[in-house]
Amino acid sequence: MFEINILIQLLAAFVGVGVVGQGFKSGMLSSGYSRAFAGGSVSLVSANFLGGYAGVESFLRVCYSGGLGFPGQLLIISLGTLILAWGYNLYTFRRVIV
Amino acid sequence: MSEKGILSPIAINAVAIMFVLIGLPFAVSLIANSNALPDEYISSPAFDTSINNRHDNWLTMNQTGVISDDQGDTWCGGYGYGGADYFPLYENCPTVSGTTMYNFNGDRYQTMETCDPTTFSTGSNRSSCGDGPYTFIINTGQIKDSLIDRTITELNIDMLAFDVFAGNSFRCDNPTIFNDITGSAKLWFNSGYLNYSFPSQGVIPSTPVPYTYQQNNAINVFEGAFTSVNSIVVESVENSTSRSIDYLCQYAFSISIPITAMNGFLIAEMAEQNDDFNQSWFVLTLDELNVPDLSQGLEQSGIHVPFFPTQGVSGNDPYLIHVEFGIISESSGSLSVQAGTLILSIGLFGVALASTEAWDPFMERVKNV
Repeated sequence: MFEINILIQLLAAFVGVGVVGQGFKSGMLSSGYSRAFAGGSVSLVSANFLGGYAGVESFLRVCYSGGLGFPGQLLIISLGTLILAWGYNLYTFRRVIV
Repeated sequence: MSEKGILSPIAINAVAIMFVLIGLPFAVSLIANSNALPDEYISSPAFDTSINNRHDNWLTMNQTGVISDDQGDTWCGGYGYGGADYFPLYENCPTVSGTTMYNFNGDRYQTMETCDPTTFSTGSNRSSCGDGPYTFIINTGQIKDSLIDRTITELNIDMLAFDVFAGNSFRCDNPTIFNDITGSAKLWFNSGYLNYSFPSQGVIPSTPVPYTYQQNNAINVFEGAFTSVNSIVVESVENSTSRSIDYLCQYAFSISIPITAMNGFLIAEMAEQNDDFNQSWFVLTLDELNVPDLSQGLEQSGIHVPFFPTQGVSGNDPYLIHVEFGIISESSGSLSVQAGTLILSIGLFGVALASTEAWDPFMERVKNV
């Protein structure tokens, strides 16, 4: 079965990249080490928060398994679209959100 | 998105990230906890016995010790104490993780983890039981057909002292006996593998009895406080001429466990992946039992709970139990959950669109419509 946790990890990673990108643009996080540390920390905390504490992972798993019918499947598609869009932006424009 | 919009690019980034980190969990929490009220209740079946024929939906259970059927076979209830751990004395005793569980007519089990079995075997004393934990297993196999394509959002368990049918009841205004009981409860849903033993003809219970539980997966579906009213007016003995109206109360224990829609969905998913509900069960643990009005714990004498052993009675001392599952059907009960999910889907898709260069042309189009 498709591991729904991958969506959470990707989302958290993009959130981390987005936060670091904005921090860099606004003059903070000038060194590579600080950006790596900040990005890793934000991604880790985000993934743990979404996956565990907030119960988003469980909810997505129910959606993926069809427990919520069409709206649940649509939510997975929307989330996938968001991740694809952020991934495309990062690859093309070197920014998560353009 | 271009920089001509209302929000600056930095603000757009911040809004999108906040939506994912704050909006998404908040919306999921709202959706998953909504519409969890059941629209139907299913009762676990109870075996007919000569004792509980006035209320045949009450299942007779034993508090402690050994119970034998009319064929002289021992259907568990036996326990042993090996110094460090419990072990079953009889092969029909169901076991969970090495702890002896007490078999009560085949489909539900109770263990008193803090009770000293050596005390029980020589004459029980409720003071040895303490305030918990007390663990009950509720097998879903008995009603598996009724649970398929349903979402369990509530579990109600009522226990009643067996004495109600044996002729002993108490004054309803007795403050020592009848007080609210508070405590903490944990409910787990387990799926795995159950070993069933098949009884021979004429043996009670007549249906297969699970005797081992091998857990593969478990989720915690409730953890919190509860309050139970420990009295029940016994209507079934109203016509009795042997007692006055003042003696129509019996001690009971009533607990209702709410299960969120999210956990209900997860339960259904777990069961579906494992032979539906045939190989699944709930484990309910009650702990920290207390009587606030009397400022005393249940380990003190004078407090009555159906599943406590009666003072001075060793072994075979039954009580009655009724288990009820509150369910919602997938088609009707989860409509608001589905509607919430649909709105969240549209929101997420909007964030995805707003994160691309297609946002401005899209908004232009919307304005021109």
